[in-house]
Amino acid sequence: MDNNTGCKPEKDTGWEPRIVAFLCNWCSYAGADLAGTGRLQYPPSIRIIRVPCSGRLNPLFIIKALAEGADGVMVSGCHPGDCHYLTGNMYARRRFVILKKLLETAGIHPDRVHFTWVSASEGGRFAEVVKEVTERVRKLGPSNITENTGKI
Amino acid sequence: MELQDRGKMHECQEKQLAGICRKLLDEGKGDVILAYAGGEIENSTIPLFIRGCGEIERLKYDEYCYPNLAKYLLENKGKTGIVAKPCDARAIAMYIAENQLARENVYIIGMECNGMKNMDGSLAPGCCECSVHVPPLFDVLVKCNGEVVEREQYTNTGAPAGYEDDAVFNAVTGESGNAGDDNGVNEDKPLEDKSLERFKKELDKCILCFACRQACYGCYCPVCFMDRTMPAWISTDPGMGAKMVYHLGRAMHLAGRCVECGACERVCPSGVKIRYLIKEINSFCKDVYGYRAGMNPGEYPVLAAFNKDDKEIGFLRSE
Repeated sequence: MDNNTGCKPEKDTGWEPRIVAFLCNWCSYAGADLAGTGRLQYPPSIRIIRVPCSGRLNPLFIIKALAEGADGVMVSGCHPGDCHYLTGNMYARRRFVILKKLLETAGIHPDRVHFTWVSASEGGRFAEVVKEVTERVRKLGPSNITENTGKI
Repeated sequence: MELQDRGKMHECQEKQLAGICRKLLDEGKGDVILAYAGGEIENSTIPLFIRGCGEIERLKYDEYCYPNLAKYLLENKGKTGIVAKPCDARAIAMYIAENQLARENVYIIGMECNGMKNMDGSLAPGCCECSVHVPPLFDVLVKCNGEVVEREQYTNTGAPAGYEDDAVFNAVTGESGNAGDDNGVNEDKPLEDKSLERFKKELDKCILCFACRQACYGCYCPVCFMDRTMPAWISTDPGMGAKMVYHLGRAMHLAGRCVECGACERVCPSGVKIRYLIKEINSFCKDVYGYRAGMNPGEYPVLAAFNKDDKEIGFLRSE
């Protein structure tokens, strides 16, 4: 990784956060595409999974990603009111607010899971969001969520 | 309330209950009535299906009637009567809200309740923090003092019988004077510990037997996500990851739907106390969306509805 990414690599351990990003096909995925065609630099820490709508996202996807050892999860969809399926992100919004509260209660740091809206024309915003998410997850260090407590 | 008074109170209620059941069967308002009978072990009760007058003899209602009977309603087609404590009635209201049950097919005998006890005499898990003492939904109500009130009389509005009547809900769900006084409960007590260590400590005890799922009124999916194999949500290795997926997944499925009956904690063979997750979400839903599970069968569950102006709490770069 070079300095253009706006993110400093971890020199000591070589550890880089692995972040699973669920992007809505109609907005954020196109936004990511625009960031690419616009040659905007952002950290290569995210693994993108394209979904038809942020409303398609089963909260279990996020829980499962964390349980399988992802350091962070990022979800991005259309801005409220711009959903391709009219109301998908409206339902998703409540779901995400409650999921985030649940994870917090369980003791999973709120900075591990991020929700945001990025439209198809916001390539710059997409790069900024990825930078911010990566920085926040990097600060937390590798995920300790599924580490066993020593007992069987 | 003193323990002696409690015993007397249930005695009064039991006497009235037998009369109501007899009347129901005579009038043909229910083909079967779900109630309680004494269990083989001392201080326990089992579900009783009353189909004829002979079975009324076995009817029992005391301070150990903690099982939630609502789930049996889903297996019974046709008209069913049910003895419902407030938590059972809330579960029934949720079934109606979720289109699992038709209101006209169920006759609810509501029981005013001040909490049930565990076999060892301590207050049952859900009852410790319960503030709902009168069922939010009933056809006939048996009060603590043994008084029997029809729904029409209770509202005093003379409006046609039906839960659409807001007056019932205001009357029942409004902060009733005795809410939480005699149990020394405080519903909005802040949680002391929200650490990952606590969560993992509880998960360590879990043996993934799914007893909590079987006991829960809200877990009625024909195939649970945990039983799915194509693709499987968990590996067969019951490690921390699998337990986490199960408990967080279940908490998410019950978010805003849990009626706080405490059945999950009661049936757990290894004493996992994970209910604090759902309790926190419930009070969150109450504060943010003004929604309380099972209080109004005409209302959509919180995750099945949305509002254009919903807050984006914790979102990144939210305007």
